[in-house]
Amino acid sequence: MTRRSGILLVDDDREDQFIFCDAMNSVDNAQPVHTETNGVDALRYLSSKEHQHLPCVILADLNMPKMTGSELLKQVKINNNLKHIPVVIYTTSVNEMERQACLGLGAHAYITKPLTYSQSIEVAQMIARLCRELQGREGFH
Amino acid sequence: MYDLTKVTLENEMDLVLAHKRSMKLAEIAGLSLSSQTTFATAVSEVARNTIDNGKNGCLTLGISDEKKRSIVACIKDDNLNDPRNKEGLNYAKRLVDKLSIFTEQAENAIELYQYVPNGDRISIQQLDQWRSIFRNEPPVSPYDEIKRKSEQLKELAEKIKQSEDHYRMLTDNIPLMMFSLDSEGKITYINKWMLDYFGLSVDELNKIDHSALVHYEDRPAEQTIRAIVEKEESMKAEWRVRNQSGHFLWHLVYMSPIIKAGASTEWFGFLVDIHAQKTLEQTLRDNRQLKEAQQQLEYNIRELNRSNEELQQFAFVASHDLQEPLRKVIFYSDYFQSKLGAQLDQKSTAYLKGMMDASHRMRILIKDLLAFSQVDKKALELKPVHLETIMNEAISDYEVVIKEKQAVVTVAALPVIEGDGTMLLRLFENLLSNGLKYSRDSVSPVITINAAIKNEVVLIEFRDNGIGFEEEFLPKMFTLFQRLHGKDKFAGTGLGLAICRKIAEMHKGSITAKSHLNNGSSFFVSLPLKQNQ
Repeated sequence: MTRRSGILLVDDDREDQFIFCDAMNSVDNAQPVHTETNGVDALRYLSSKEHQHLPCVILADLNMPKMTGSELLKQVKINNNLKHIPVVIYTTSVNEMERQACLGLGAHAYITKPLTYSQSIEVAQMIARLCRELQGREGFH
Repeated sequence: MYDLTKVTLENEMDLVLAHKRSMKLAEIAGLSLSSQTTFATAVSEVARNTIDNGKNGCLTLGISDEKKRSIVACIKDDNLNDPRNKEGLNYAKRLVDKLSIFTEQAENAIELYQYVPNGDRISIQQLDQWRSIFRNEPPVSPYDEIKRKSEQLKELAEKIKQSEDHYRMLTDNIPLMMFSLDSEGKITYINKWMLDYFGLSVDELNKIDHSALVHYEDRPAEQTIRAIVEKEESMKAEWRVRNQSGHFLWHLVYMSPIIKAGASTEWFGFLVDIHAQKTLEQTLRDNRQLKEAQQQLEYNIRELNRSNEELQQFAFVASHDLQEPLRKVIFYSDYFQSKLGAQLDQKSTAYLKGMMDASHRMRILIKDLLAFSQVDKKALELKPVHLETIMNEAISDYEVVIKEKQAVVTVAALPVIEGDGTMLLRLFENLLSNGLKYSRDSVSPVITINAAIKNEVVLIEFRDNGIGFEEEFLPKMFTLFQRLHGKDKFAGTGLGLAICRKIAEMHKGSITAKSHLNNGSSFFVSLPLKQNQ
């Protein structure tokens, strides 16, 4: 098994990409972030042969062109190579039904996009911590 | 008996006539001279009695219709039983072959029979000839002539009367109102139907204003019958005509002049009841119009629903899509303040704060608008809902504010109803938040929630001790974007109560309020216990 590292952020909103990356760079134990803008491209990235290292965490927006976040979540969860990677839904939607649906599909967490700078830092810290935990559990292979 | 001739018995002259005609009858019947004399004498005897003592006497001469033919003289007399007649009768009896006396009921008559030899040969045609003999016989005296003329006149009058009776019977039996007018427009005749319809006789009809009998919407330009008659043209119209009970029924009215050379013009007219036909026509027309109106209405409803849906769609999309850039505005202002706030002077800090406040207000507005558009979009998910649980959930959502404001919230027992829990929670939250928000300065909010069930409907009262409102604003309060206070004083979008009303109405309930300015308010929500009623 390859060692996993970094974060895959799937979001079509460039600003949200910037906000997350900027926050991630400001926290301790910052993790590298690779970005894709939709589910199709994200799956292609995850299955590319040259890519040796799978990400620790996938952070996915819901509302995206080509393939939505929940569809991406489904595809990840039925793929034996990928299903162990935690998918965190990262969205503006506060719809409770949507949240329940995503958790039902196997989402690791459901995070609402930050409205303030301090919130963005909190999100980045949380994701970084999650990565660290997973890396610590797996160790080196 | 076949009648051939008649003689009224009033005086001596009639007696002469009776004798002469009896002689003549016996003669043409072929009897011998002696038999003629005998028959005529017998008739004269009885006729004399009648003239002397009788009443309404009348002699009819004819031929019997029995197989054995006789000449017959029938003398009618209403005073036949006078005892003074007895002698004459006995004499007459001896002279003729048969004498019969009828004194039954109305018929008082004596019949004298004289057999006619070979009488069976007398044919009906012959009888007609004999009748004309009597009719054409030159009068025996001036008296006879006058008498005949008078009889002819009487006969004619009788015929006219019969014909008139016949005519009247006809007009009275056709279900038509008929009338006639003279050249002046005066009514001269109406049939029974017309009398029954108007309840007025000819004289009464001539006295009243005829236009009053016609519905004011149907009255012709001519105000009177006379004006119509003066035009000397037949007319036909459909009018509502008033009957004697005051009801106006549709009739076809027709009037036509009967122009006779040398005589003044008379008019004939009739009225036919066409009410049923008219009513049917009207009903069909009304039905058609109703159907058209209904179709138009259905079309309008469809259009309205469509535009409503579009509007909701728009509200949803607009508010949803507006959220994104706004979130960025809010984030970057915060980012700016966090990273560079320390370097800003006082003025710049105030500007930045103004920008951030405005964007926060806009965020709440968009959130509420989105909520409002979603309330309508969503179908109710009906389940038994314990309102008390929902109410406690709403209270716990506002725990922070309640503590902050040192508010006291008391809830009475609430029932289980059929409804959508999420929506009812929002309804309770909005009302609770209103009670907390519109509190008086330096007076802690006291919110009391009571409930009563009546006719399968629960009425929930949210009573507060806040600033209240003027009741004249009540109708506006539950509509979109209605705010009674400036936003500097109370934050809000004016959507909260509109959402409340929508949720209540979706549950087939309602919401209203009562208040006095500065004296607290009560909001009343009524919700049916079951939705399918």
